[in-house]
Amino acid sequence: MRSKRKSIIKNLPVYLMILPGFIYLLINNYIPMAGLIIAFKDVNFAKGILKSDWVGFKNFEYLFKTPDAFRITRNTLLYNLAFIAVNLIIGVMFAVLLSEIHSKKAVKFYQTVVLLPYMISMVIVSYLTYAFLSSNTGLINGFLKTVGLPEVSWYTEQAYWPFILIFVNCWKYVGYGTVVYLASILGIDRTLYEAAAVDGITKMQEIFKITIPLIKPTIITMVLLSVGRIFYSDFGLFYQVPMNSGALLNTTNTIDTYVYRGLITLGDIGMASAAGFYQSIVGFFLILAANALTRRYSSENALF
Amino acid sequence: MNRFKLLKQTALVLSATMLLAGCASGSAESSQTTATETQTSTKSGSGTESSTEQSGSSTAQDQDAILKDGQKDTLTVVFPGGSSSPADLEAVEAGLQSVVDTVMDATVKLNILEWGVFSDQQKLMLSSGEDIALMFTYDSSKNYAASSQVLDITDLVNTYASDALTTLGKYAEACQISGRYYGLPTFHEYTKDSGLVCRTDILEALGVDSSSITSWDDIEALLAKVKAAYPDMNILAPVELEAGVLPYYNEGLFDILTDGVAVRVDGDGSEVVDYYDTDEFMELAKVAYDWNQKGYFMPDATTVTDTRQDLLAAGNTFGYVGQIHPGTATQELKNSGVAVTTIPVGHRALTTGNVNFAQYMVPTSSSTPEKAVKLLDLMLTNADVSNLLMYGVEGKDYVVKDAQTKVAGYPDGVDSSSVGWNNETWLAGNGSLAYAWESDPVDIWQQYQTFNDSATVSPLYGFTFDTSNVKTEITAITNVISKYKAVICSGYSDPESSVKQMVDELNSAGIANIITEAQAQISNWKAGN
Amino acid sequence: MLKQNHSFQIIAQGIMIVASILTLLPLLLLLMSSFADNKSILLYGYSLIPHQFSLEAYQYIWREHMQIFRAYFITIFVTVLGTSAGLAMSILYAYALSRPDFPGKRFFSFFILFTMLFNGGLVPTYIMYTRYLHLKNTIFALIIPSLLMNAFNVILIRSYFQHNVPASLIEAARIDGAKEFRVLTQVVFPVSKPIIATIGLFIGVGYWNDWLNGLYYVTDNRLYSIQQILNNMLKNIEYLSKNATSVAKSTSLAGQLPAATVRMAIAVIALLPILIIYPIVQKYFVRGIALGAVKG
Repeated sequence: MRSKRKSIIKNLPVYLMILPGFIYLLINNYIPMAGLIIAFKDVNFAKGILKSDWVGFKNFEYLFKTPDAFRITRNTLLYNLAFIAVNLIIGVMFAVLLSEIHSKKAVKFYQTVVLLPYMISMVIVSYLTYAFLSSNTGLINGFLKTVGLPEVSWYTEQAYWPFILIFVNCWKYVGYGTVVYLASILGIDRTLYEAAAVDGITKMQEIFKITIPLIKPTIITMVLLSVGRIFYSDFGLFYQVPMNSGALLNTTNTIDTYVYRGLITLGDIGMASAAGFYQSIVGFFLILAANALTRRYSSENALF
Repeated sequence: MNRFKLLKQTALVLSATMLLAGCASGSAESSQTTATETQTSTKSGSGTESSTEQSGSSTAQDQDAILKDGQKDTLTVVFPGGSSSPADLEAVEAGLQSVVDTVMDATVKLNILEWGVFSDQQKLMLSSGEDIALMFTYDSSKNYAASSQVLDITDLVNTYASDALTTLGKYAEACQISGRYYGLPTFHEYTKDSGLVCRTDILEALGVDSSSITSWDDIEALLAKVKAAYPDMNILAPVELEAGVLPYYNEGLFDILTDGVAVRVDGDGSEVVDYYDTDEFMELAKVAYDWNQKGYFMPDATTVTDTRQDLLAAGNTFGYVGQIHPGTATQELKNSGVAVTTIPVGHRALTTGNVNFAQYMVPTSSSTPEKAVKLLDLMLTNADVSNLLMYGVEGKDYVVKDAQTKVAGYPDGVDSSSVGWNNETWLAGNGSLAYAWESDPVDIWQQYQTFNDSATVSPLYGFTFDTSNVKTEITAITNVISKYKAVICSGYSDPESSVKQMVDELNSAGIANIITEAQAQISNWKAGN
Repeated sequence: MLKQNHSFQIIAQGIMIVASILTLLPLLLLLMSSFADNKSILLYGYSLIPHQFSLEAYQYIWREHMQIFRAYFITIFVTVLGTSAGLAMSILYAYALSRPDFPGKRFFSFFILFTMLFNGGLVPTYIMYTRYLHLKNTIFALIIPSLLMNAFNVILIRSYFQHNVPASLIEAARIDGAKEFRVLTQVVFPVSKPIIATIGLFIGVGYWNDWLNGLYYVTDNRLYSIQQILNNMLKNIEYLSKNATSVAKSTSLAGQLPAATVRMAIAVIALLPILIIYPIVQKYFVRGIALGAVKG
């Protein structure tokens, strides 16, 4: 008991450091979390949220009792897996290249360029995509016409869209990963490289034997964090970028867009809340599993 | 680390949350309860009033006791607009105040929300218990009623807005749900006509007399003529983004209960059908396909990001197939700068949905529903209020150009971009009491009235479909519809196969359940009438 | 060895040049379209060199300049204040989590991670901030809700503190009698510039690009941020064009709405300051040379 108190006193400054963030999380996240009960209620505002009738899992039914349930779940999962893989590989590659290129000016230029799309809102991205893909006014069809190739009606041909979406997502977000990985590489102790240089290893060996193993913790953190969001999808990317085109729905409909379309007419707060709860709980268990796995193989990299 | 410890951590975090959340929502609860209490007290209060109403003279005194109680309650009216703080907002509020002062003790505040934020803000305001007297609603009104976000104001309306009820006549009924009022409609076009809206200059160049065109076949002949004369032109643009080119082809034939589920306007209303499985929809699909094959539709009609006004203004579009009402031509001229001719060939129907899509409702959280309803009554019956809400302050934002014919216009040196107040008829309560605007025909309000009264009354007029038992099916069919509707209405796919596919998917999404539910509710409603 | 390095440089530069072109092409189109004549786009299509140059889009913005300038000011104020506060809170929280001997470390890690997975939804959060904290239509509504601190950033900083700041360095400082706060500011901070710059950048971009807080908590247009103006314009267009016929009496509204080129121009204007600020942030992307030196 005494030792515990002593430990708390000794760590008092650390507790004080955590306090502002702790209070913020309470206000911003934990207190409103009471709203999760909305997912299990038939909300009636005259009775108030707490006194509304419980309806069990009725608000969740529409997510499963639909012929589209399999498709939207599959789309959400597969796209997210592809995004995680592509953004990881390209992000790490860019970061490594940027850390190796000698010309400081060139590095600054590339670094700025790859991060720029991250600053643009998805709505604007959708207009830009349209500027490229429109049948009538698009840049790509204009080009195809000039070189004598048949034009493509991009917004009705669903076969192209998995690639388009992965490309757009990568274009917009790869800069984010690149910067994080680059920061991590820059934190590596230079003496390790100097020692390796004495041993006369090649550049490739240096990258794969020193750089990548040393940024592994960051890579694992980034992947683990993405796993928690695997049932979510970027609404702008899946709804606005394909211009809500019906012909593409088989390849572009995800859980989020399905819920959005479905609830436009109903505007049901309970059902919206149920969808969020479902996405969260799946993410929660996946991240628990992923974290347990990480803990087993490299415990120092686990998130908690 | 062992698993149990982790679970314990989770439990700890969660229970802490629940505890904290409990406190917070506990207080949220209490304020919700007060709102409910007000509501019930209101109800009982107005109940007695409506019973005393028959006895005559005492009503006015009872009303006065509540309206002139010395409390300067704030009555906030929320509606959408182009700017959240137009220059003359305060002047208009002051104008309204002077009218309100003669009737009751209250302070009027207008809270204008920009279009882009309106639907989000509206949902938040109605869910969080803000004290709002009147909320304009245009699409979710029945959902708000179903979840008690707005009050049943039947008794209040009978007591405090009886003049408005008289003025509105049969059009007030559309705001009833199961025989109870949840709001009152603004004055607007209560029916829709559909047809071709197209460039007048091209009609003239081709020597076409628009009055000779009276059917869709005539329209097709015209389109063929235009195509031959202007082969590079996009003949028809989509009327609304993401809706395809011909969504209004069957306008007026059906009373749509919820997208996909409808009854025929010319029937007796007892047969509920899957609209996408009707001969009429098949005909639309075939016409769309045929017209698209013939090159009448602009490419990318389902995904184009430019509005039809921009497309018309750019000069390579002939027109669009859409909705037509009195004043459409003037409105399009203002919007695109292009003179257009309207050629209506559709059917006009008076349906519940056409009327109640623009109404004012009283939120459950309103602290003074009686005064709120009285204010609504003023908005629907008082000409001064109408002029203020429609055109702003006299002498500043508008001047009376002709007192005889009741026409108003901009004062010298003021135009549409510099005026301190802008509003729309369908948002402003009862626009028909206001002046006519100089750019419109003098008898514009009469035209509206005639147009509205000419509609065929749907057998289900006054009925509102309650979707709470079939929410799952509705989400599923909405997704199916967004997959096919615009594509079919733009003639992209072979009609026979795509309509069949759509109908199959609607069936497996459970549209039959919705039809059965609607059928049952209609029988009940008919039995009650 | 040298030759090999030389060819590596060429390949590396080659890859990055291709990547830059792919990235810049759409942005160039964005810039060029903002200078194009709206009608010419509809008639001849989008192109990297406009068929017809026009400053119409920027003139439209200039006409609205009072509002745009004010919005710029609000955005800058919110970004500076929010980023400083958010970065400080994130660093403090992350530092505590990175202390190996800190009791409750796992609880506090989980406490923040949990917020990434679950949230109560918009309505409860809205009630919290408007009914209890009365933030609606105040500048704090643009700063406090959701943006100040998030699990992602804190965990990235913690991960960096744990793996890139040698424990020996901290131990040495402690033996010298340094208190926790001094350890953080004088030992950990100087060797963590890259991650702090990165996270600062992310928080800053988060504030700069945010329009959701505005959408939910600000209805008074005197408090609009630049992104909110952009977003409102886009949403107004979207709303009115989708509901063009049901909003039948929408008089001249749709006609006043900015066309395609204006959307592009506003996006360009919103992007500009980032181009100015970013090089400053880049200064901190330096190798941890100091680290090696101290250690050696």
